[in-house]
Amino acid sequence: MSTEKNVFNRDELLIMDLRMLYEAYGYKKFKMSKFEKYDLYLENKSFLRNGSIITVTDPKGRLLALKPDITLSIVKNIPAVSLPEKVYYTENVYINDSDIGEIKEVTQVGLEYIGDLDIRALSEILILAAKSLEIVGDYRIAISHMGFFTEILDNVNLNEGVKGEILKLINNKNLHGLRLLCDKESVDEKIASRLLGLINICGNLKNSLENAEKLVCGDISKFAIQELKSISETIDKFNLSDKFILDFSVTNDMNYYNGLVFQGFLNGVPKNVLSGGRYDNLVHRFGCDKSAIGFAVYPELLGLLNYKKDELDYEVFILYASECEPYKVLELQNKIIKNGERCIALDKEVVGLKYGRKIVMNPDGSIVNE
Amino acid sequence: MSDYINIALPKGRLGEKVYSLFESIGYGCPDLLDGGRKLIFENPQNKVRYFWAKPSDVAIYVERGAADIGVVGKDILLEYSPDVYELCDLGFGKCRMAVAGKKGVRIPTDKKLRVATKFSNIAWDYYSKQSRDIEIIKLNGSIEIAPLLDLSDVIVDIVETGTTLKENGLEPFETICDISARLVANKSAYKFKSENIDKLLAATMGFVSEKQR
Repeated sequence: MSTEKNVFNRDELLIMDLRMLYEAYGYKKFKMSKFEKYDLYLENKSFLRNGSIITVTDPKGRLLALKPDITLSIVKNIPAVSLPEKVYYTENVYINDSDIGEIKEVTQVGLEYIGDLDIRALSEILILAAKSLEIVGDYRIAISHMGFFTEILDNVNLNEGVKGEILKLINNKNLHGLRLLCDKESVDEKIASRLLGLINICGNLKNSLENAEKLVCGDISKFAIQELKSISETIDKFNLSDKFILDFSVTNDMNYYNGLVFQGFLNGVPKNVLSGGRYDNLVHRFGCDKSAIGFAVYPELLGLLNYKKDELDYEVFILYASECEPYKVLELQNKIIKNGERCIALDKEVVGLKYGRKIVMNPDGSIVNE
Repeated sequence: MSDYINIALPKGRLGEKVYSLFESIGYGCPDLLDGGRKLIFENPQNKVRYFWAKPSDVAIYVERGAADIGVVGKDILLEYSPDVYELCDLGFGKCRMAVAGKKGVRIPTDKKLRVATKFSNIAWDYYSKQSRDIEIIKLNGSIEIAPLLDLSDVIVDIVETGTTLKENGLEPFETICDISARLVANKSAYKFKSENIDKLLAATMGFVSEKQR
């Protein structure tokens, strides 16, 4: 039992493992500065997970923000050459938590792939998402494709507010609510049934593609299905198929996300621990004509997983007689620690100490293993 | 234990009605209606676990994964917007959210409207869509007396038969929306227990549409 596994808590270990995983696949670490100008986030507010930005004023009176997001900073600085850009990061982001009325500092680990994206690259991202969660335990990845939504909603005569409401109802799998809204807004029956049909598609990726194909109604959705099929075939070769779910209730802002979008879930954690998607539209806004896809993981959510009840405080408890020579006790401690075990030495018993085994040291220095 | 479906039921009349629906579609639990103070019940045969919760808390249990599914009123969903799937309108507990005020009294348009309510988010959303500036007085119960004591001009509250309002000299002016009991599910649990949850959902929807005929 190595000391690392016992000293570092679950999310710290995960971060270490994720870093090694991403380096292995050729991603380089990106380190960002603490403060970006507030304008950057204001101009791209709907790209942010949480709309409210925490501001600070610098000595020159400029309005800066405590970063709520990393992707925008990466996209802002895409080098003109040396694409594809494959970077990962481990950073803290700051959000205003309306639930508890406090500012929260959250660790976010993520990666971005910017450049030309072929099926191999898209599959690599999804496989990395799967491997990221596999480290922790039983997981599922829910995949969707914004192409289905942009094709339907870009061509329908509804105001932005109603389109937003439609997407929210789809996010909540609210069939009856969507039906009522479509009736109220006199949405064309063909379009309404397509939207309702999208909610109904939720199942294993490999097996649900056939049903999704029935909802194809134009070039964009045709291309989307092709992409999903090729990706499905690719990840199937790695026996990951039963972890991937085709779920159109997963959507993201249409102004930025144009293709694959996905969320990762761990068994026992009530919210998604991973969130990702293809955001070509955002990259284009910054004047670059390449594509981009990425995802972020929130290790602190692992705190919501049930901890094992039999976790020990220490592997070894040394109970030494007060007459023992101090150096002999310390020598024994060092020997045990060299073995990779955690050790506590006390001259009396303590109630409630959770240890693996006990060693008693007598006044003459002899030891008894209990 | 993790192949059980955990269901949060709202304490009270609605919860009992919902339970008898689940019982009739095969998800019964023998000790549940025995009375007493027990709050958690399980049935190893059909692998279902129930617990009673305060109606306004059911959504929190489901959102945080303590329950996989739950039944909660649309009023709670609209007020707190929990991040959960809303899978089915069960059709019971039917009532509506309405604006009400003293009978025959004109609603002032020349000053800020004072609205007393338990549902401050619902009231806020409703009036902001009308671009109406309001002052919200958040109360927790017996909202009907607020306009009678001139604490507010109107109230936003749940109306069933309208009898309580009538007895207090109030009348409903505008309906904000219809309310009824909804079946909600935790988004993460749904990924891992989809087969079991879908089975329960299908049986529930079958029962509900039969009843509506």
